[in-house]
Amino acid sequence: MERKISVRRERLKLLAKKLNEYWLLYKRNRKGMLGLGILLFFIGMAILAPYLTPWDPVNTRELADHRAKPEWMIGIEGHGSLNIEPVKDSDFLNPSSVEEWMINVTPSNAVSIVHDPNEGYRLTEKESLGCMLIEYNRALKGNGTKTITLLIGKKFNYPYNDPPGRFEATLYWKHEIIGNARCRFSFSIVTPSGVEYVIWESSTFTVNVSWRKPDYPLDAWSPQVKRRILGTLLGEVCNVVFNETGTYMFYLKITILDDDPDGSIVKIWLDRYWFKTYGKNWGLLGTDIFGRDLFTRLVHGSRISLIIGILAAILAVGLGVLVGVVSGYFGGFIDEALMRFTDILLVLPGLPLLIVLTAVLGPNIWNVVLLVGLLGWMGIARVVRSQVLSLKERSFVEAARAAGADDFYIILKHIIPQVVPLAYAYLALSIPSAILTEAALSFLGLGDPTVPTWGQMLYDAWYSQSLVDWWWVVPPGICIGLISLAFVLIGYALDEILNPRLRRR
Amino acid sequence: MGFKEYIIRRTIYSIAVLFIVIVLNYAIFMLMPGDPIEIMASESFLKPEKVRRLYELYGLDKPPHIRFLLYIRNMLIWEFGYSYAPGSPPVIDEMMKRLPNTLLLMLTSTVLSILLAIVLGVLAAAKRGGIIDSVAVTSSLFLNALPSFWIGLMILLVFGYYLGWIPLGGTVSRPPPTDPIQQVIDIMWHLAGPLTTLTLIGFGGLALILRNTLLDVFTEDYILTAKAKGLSERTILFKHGLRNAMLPLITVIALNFGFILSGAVITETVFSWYGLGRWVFEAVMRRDYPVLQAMFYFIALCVIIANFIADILYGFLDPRVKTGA
Repeated sequence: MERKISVRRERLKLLAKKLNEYWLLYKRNRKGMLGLGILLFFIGMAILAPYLTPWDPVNTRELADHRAKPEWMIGIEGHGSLNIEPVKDSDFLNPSSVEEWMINVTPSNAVSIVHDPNEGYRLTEKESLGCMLIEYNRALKGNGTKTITLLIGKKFNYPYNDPPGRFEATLYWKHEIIGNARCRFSFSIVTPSGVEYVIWESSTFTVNVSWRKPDYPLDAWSPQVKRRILGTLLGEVCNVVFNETGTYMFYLKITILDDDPDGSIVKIWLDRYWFKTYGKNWGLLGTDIFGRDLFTRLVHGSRISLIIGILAAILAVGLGVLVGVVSGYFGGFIDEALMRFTDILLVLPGLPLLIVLTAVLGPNIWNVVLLVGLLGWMGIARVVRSQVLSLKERSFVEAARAAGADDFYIILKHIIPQVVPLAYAYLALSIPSAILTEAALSFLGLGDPTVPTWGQMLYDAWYSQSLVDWWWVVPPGICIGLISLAFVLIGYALDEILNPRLRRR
Repeated sequence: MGFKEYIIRRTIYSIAVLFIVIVLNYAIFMLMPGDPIEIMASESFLKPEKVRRLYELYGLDKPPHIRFLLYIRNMLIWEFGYSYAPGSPPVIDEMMKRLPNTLLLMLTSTVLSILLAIVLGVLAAAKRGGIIDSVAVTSSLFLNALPSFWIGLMILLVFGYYLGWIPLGGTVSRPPPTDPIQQVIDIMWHLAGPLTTLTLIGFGGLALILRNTLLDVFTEDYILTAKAKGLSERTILFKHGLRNAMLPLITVIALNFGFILSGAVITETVFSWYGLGRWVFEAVMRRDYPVLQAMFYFIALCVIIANFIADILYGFLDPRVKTGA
């Protein structure tokens, strides 16, 4: 027992020494070190991805205008626009949220406006309550119709010389009417030069309504808004409304018509009151056609590329070593059968076969890994086999056999360790081809749309005819190239060190 | 073993591989899920009578073993049946229409890559470690590391969109020019983009191989002898070096045939080139099994023939092979 442990310790020491020697050799290989540097950069990117960007690469949509340009393009082109979101607490969660609004009542003091913590529009029970409560309580008595007008809105500065790509507003309300009164709502945007664009007008309500929203989206892209502002479905509402810089204003106009001689009670609850202009420029690399952040997708792409590349390559090299060792060591019929099988797989058209099988198995990232691995081992098997053919004739194998070792022991203890250096070099060289194959499959539209890969990014650009957005198309390609190059350089360096026959080159 | 016997052995071996590929080809498409005719029937609300006729037309009403024998016969006489796409000509007609375009693309790009590889490989090996060598090796490695479709996209973007030198896709202008000379120029103009892409993908690997074989050859004794004889650098490089280094290059080119075809699938798709590669892609998207089966067979046949030629050429050029094998 004691001896066994000390032997093991000796072995570990020897291994450490050997590894150190290899490392010293590797350090002198300039290309290898360059490859390692690039690889470490991408590994860092992959690990830090969630910290580098706050968004989800697949599900966070509508961050800015679709196909927004990068922010730094404003500096180059001299024009552009960014997001503006003037409302701070659109859900009215805090009591102070009522104070952020500009409220104008005519006649003044006819209504009271408070924060109501016990009401609010919610999709699920879990969401917090809170909304704005506007109460008109029998204030104006007398005959005839008394009109009370409320403007609830915000001013914001629009400093950009480009209109936004889109603007959007949401609002939810409910109201209660006691007595003979009516109420009416409308939403408008007022430009710095004083032009008022009415985006939406409600009908006149005489009955109570529960939580509801405007009958069409208050969105520059919605056909109803387009027809209302432009008179046609063609053209952009934003270009008309946001054609100057300066202080804009948006407001909800509530008109209460009190017909009751005794005055009436009208209570209006307001929630989810929000407004945003979507800039034509966004972030480091802009957005894609779903308004997703391209930088986020790029950063997260490194994870998938590394994982797919490494897993598929491990599978391919593992299979290759297995087939090569078995084929070379046992020879005869097994060898013949395995090598002919290898030949046939080499004859079948690789990428078309992959395309067909991926199309059949479905766009799933694990299918891609499996298929790339299962169809990538043939070259390695051949090289390993030729290595094993010469290894098994060496004297140490004969000695082991003479000492009574069985095939399994010899393969495990004498053959495999000799093949491992070769396998490492091939592993590094197989990873780029796996990465490139995955990218090609994704690019052809056979990738997994729920996984953000670089190939998928390029497919999106191609499919949506956005190739002109070079900030979208160039970075993923460069990244694929660099990460592949890193593995190739590492592979060559390992090959030179571990298989010294090449060292003289 | 004589040269004749070597050829016979390789021939028998190639035919055996071809047969197994044919069988595998049948198996792959047998195992595929989904019945295209059923899809067709449900999409276009066909009557049962019409559906039965369709099954008959594609021979899908017969038991599997009869279908298998029929299939083998059809493969041997190049009878590939009809595409599932409605109203399309027989597969073989469409294939023959597309083949010249793909051949044109592949031949020109292969020739261009070989020429480029020879120039770069020789220049790099002649001054090992020099500036040309480092630039050639690094650029070859980087080009090999880039995705081929991305190179195509970049060429499309820069030369097609920004500079307007090449068309944004297609094989001929619409409508095509009437003058024959104009037609040739038109095709060349459309060829430029995919040709450049395939050449850029292809030459890097070849140049690297040629450089390394040349460096290997330089260590041989006969180079030393030539040097001792006082032959000029140029004579040694071209007559003794390049000649011997070309041998592995030829085999690599032949063996890479399948790889070039894979490149063609992507390049033709990017440039919407009317060729076989894009057809394969479209067939996959449409689950068009007759087209895919025919194309797989055709590609495998090409690769087997290319390998066969490489074997024979190798045996012819290097007498050691046929005695050793």
